[in-house]
This record gives sequence, structure tokens and C-alpha cells, in this order.
Amino acid sequence: MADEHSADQDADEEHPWGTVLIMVLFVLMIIGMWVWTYATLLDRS
Amino acid sequence: MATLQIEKWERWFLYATVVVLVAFFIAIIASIGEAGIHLPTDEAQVDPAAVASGDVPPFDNPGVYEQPDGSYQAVVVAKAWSFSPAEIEVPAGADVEFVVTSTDVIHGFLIADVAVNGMIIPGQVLKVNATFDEAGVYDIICHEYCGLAHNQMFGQVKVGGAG
Amino acid sequence: MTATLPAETATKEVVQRKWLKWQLYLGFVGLLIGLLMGALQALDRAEINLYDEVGLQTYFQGLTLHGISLAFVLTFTFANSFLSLTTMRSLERPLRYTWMVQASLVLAFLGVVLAAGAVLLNKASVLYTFYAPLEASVAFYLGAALLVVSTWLISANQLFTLHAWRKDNPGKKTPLLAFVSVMTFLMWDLASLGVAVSVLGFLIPWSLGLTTGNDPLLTRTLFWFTGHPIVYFWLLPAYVSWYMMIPKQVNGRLYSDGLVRGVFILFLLLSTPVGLHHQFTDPGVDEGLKMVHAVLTFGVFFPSMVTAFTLVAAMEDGGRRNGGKGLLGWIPKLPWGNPSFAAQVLAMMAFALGGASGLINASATVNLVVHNTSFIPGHFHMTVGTAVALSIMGICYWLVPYLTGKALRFRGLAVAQAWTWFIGVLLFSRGQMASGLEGQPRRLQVSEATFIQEGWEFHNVTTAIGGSIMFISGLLFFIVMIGTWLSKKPATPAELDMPISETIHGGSETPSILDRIGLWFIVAVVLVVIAYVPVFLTHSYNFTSQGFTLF
Repeated sequence: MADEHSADQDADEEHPWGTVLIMVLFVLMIIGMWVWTYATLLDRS
Repeated sequence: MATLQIEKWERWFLYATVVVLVAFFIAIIASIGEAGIHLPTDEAQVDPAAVASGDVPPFDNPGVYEQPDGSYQAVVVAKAWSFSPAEIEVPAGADVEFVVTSTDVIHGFLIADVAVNGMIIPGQVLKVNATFDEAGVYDIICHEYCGLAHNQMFGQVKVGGAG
Repeated sequence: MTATLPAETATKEVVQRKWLKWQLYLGFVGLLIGLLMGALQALDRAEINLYDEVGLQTYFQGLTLHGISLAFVLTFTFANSFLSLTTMRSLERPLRYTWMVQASLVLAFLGVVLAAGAVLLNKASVLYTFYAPLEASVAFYLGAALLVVSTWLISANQLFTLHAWRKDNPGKKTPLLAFVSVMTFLMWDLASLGVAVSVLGFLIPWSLGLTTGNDPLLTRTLFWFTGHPIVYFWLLPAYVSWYMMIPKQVNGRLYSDGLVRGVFILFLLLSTPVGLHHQFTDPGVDEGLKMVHAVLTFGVFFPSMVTAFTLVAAMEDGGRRNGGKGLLGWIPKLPWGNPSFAAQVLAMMAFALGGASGLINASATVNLVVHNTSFIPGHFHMTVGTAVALSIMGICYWLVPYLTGKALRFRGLAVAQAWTWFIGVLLFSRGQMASGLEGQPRRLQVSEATFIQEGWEFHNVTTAIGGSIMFISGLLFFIVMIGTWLSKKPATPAELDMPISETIHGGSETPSILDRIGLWFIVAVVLVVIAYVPVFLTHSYNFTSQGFTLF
């Protein structure tokens, strides 16, 4: 698709920074939930 | 606008995912190898009707038995809607092996505070282990639907003179 | 589309669309029954027991209706309808055999009547898992079998249609929307073999008295052969919409045709050879085999992670094309006022939590903390209960106008419906997961239980509130649907076509190996053989259980 507004295009638009941030938070959430449950297992066993 | 450079970032994200999954898996192996936590496995098969009529040892004498090495074996028979014995007494610090079967339908065997969690399947023998470090009363809850009075089916482990 | 086809073909398409529309409505009946039972269950969590008042014998009778109406009826009929329509649209032709479309609805309807009828007569209060040796009336098992056959007819019809399309289009790749629709059903065809063998080979003869002994672990293992991939049969129709429609609805683009094909191929391969992770705590199943399935289960998590990144990126693409600037400025630029978008993006967010809890469940020894506790329904109300159910509702916000030619009514209410469901399920699942981690079992009638611990009560009230909000949200959905149905206002031209995503890297760039459906099916079969032949070979067959009707 043609670039119409290259004049005010900043470098941010080339990288999906929003997606990267959301995905990093997502992975951190997975790690947090998982480690917490694993710690519960070790604590109880 | 420019096309988002998705490929590079998605690739990195997926590498990170693989690393996290591998790390989790190593932790799981450690829980087995280092912490000695096991999933139930294939032990033995029985005939539920024969268990019901008292013809299958050790299920003909449910109860808790001290072993030569100081640990305990608790033989439990589950039926709709109770555990037999309904109460198991052991001292604090006891290592207990539960040997469980069902005379009728599938039941559950959950002692949450010590991460004991097994299915009691008629025809199969369940073996699960726990160490009861702290004195107290621990509920053994049937966590699989087994009919009308499933909501009232539970037993207890009384540790260290509690209860 | 209709205008460009010869008259006879156009009529065929009209007839098929009508029958598929009515199958979707059968799904709505399932949704309604499920919602009503859900309300009763939610109230019971707050110790408000209305089962006598509504004329049900037990909580478990209601819970069986809840499970089968939602997890068999709603999901199967939706997949049957939606993925037939997408196949037709993508291949630009009616399905090959109209009689198969008709027979699918007839069998699904009969299946509902038999199974739900048996449950309403209290002859099948065996829950959605129907574990032997709890024994239901044969009508229940027959009903379930008919519902499964209704899906096989859809799959066969898709394949015949694709075959005809390929003959007319030699050397061309399967259009992407048809590809993902067909792959979903192919995955299910393989997956459904387990429950088919169990029901046809064991449970029906046993309940008819033709055999005496049942092997409960065997039928349970056969159930879970299907029981894991069934969640992908529920989920993949939502993924079809998320990949193939959401990017269009947000004015974004899907990154790559090949990537989407790869994801669906991974689901075809990895959905089925993982079922033992539902049996981690079973006796009679070797611990080593359980660990093999655990590894494969971690594998099937992977295509969902690909999906998460790809979809968020497609939405960022759309939000930026709509003028969004800065790190997160694209988010407000998404079409939040479009109820179809709102419902599905909220469904995706719930799925993030649901999927994370699923990974916990799958983690072998970690499963000991959560198995059969209320953590489990906490998990699956975010996955099937929201990622799928809320997406189904979101899809219907354009699909029902598409099928009826009427404009969606009460759009504001529809958006409110999406948000209330999302808030409701967050509360519901928070309560369930918290009480589960403290040891409260699932499948429990709290108001009658004699072992409720003090610490669980607060969580149960949270669950009750969340579930009640979900019920109200479900009613809002029906108000919107009925309002649309009764509306005199015709749909806009945009509403009369499916929103279909553009890709940045289109089909011409996709390696042709990713279109070799037959080849990947064979690989899937091989993986299932590797994962399950050892299980069935090492199983100690023990057909000694008689049946019990303890309800």
C-alpha cells in the first residue's frame, strides 16, 4: 500500500511497539501465574 | 503508512515462548526428580464387585497400618458415598502411602493441603503419598461426581492427636 | 455473490443458507438452556438453591444440561453452520450436497431431543463427561452420537465441495478462508474417533444390556482422546473469525497467509495426541506415558502464542491506519462501537488468562494442585465460556444480519452485552480459581455440601455475582437477536457480505506444501498412533464394572 504521509511518519510506525509491549506483559503474566502455582505445589508436597 | 515489521518481532517472541516452555518443563522434571513428587501410575487391577464382598486383599481390611520402616499405609475403600475408613489417625511427621479403590463408580481423592490428588477408578488401584508435617485435621474430599450424595462425601486425616 | 451464479446454483445456495441458519438457531436454544442452568448454579454458589422451584430433581441434572447444551449443542451447531457458510463464501459456490446440509440439522435436532430429553427425565444425570460406570439411558448416548454424526456430514460436504473446486481450479491454492474451515473439521474428524468408539463400541451396547462388564478406565481414556481436541473444535471457529474477519473489521491486515495455514496445520497435528493430560491423576495409566503427552501438550500451546502475536499486530496495524499514534494510541482507534469487534477482542483478552491457566493445568505435577478443583471451571469459563461463547455472540452480530437480511438492532445494547460478559467472567473465574487453589472441588453443589471451608465462602459469593452478571449479559444477547429478527429494517450492503481479511503476504507467497491437506492429515494420524498406541497396548483391560444409576 502506498505511503501517503511520509512527511510526519516517525520510526515508531515501522515497528509494532504496542504489540511487543502487550506480548511482553502477557508472557510475564504467564510466568507469574505459573511460578506461583508451582511454588504452591512445592510448598504443599 | 509503512508496513509494520512484524516478522522480526514475532520471531523473537516465539523464541522467548520456547525458552519459557522449556524452562517450565525443566522445573516439572525437577519436581519429580528432586522433590520426589509423582503422578499416580499403573499399579494393579481388581474386580470392584469382589472388593465390595471383601474378597480382595488388602481392601478386605481397610485401615491405617504402621510399616516396619516407621511409615504408614492407609488402605481406603471408596463407595458412594463414603470413604472407609472415614477417619485416619497418624502422628505428626508421618509419611503415609494411601492405597485406594472403589467398589462402584469413579470417585476422587483430594487432600489439598498436602497436594494429594488422585482419581479412584473402579477396577484400578490408586497409590498416592503424603507427609503430614503439621498436626491438624485434613479433609479427604471426593472431587468427582458420583451421584446424589456426592456433596457430602468426605473423610478426614487426623494428624498428631488433633480433632 | 448470488447474482453472478446461474439460477439453479443460486437456488441451491439459498436453500442451504436457510438450513444452516436454522442450525444456528438450534444452537441458540442450547445457549439459552445453558444460560438458565448457569444462573441456577451461580445462585447456588451464594447458597440460594432454586432447583426445587424450577422442577429439577438435582443440581447435577441441571449441570448435565448446562454442559451438554453449551459444550455439545451450541458449539457443534455453530461450527456446522458458520464453517459451512465460510466454505461456501470462500469457494464461491454452494456446498456439493444439499441433502447433507439438511441431514446435519435433522440429526443434530434429533440428537438434542434424545439427549436433553433423557436428562430432563432424570435418566442421564451423568454430566457432560458421562463417565462409566455411572450409567445413563441409551437415549442419552444415542443423542450424543447423532450430534457427532451431524458434524461428520458437514466435514464430508466441505471435502466434496473442495474436491469439486479443485477440479475446476487446477494448480490453485485453496482459498485461505476455505482452508481454515476445512482444517477445523478435519482435525475434529480425527479427534472424534475416541468418543465414537467409546459410545458406539462400548457404552451403547452396555446400556442396552448386550455386554455385562464395562472397563471404566478404557471408556474414560477414549473420552479424553476426544476430550482435549474437542476444545479446539470449539475454539478454531472463533480463530477463523479472529484471523479471517477481525483484521478486516479493524481496517488492518493479516501479516501472512502462510502463517495462518501453518497455525491450522499445527492444530491438526497436535490437538489430539495429548489427551492424557486430562488423566494425570488417573491410576492405571503409566506415569511415563503421561509425561510424553505433557511434552506434546506444551507443543499445542505454541500455535496459540503465534495467534496472540499475529492478531494483536493486525489490530495495531488497523489502529495505526485509523490514525493512532504512539505506543498504545492505536487502541482507542479500534472500532469499539462495533459490537462484533468489542465482543471478540474482549473474548481474546479473557482467552489470554484462560490459556495461561490451561498451561498450568497441563504442567504434569503442577496439575496435582488444581485437578478437579474449582480452578478448572475457572479456567474453562475463560476459554470455551468466553473466548468461544462471547466470540460466537460477537460473530452473530454480523452473521445473523448476513443470514436474515435484517440490520442489527440495539447496537448499543450489544456493545454493553460484550462488556458485561467480560466483567462477569472475570469475577466468576477469579472466585472459582481462588477457591480451587484453596482446595474447593468442582462439580459441587455448595448449598448442600457438608465440607465447605470458611475461606471458600467469600470466593463463592464472588463466583455467584460474576455468574449472575454473565446470565444477564446472555439475556441482553437474546434481546438484541430477537430485536433484530423482528426488525423491519434491511441490512446494509456491507452487512450482507462477510468481512474477510486482506493479507500483507498473500497466498502466492505461501509454499505449496502448506496447502497439502491430505499429507498433513496423514502426519496427524501418525502422531496420534505414536501417542496412543502405547496407551492402548499397555492398558490392562478389565471389563468388570456393572452400571450404576445413582441419580
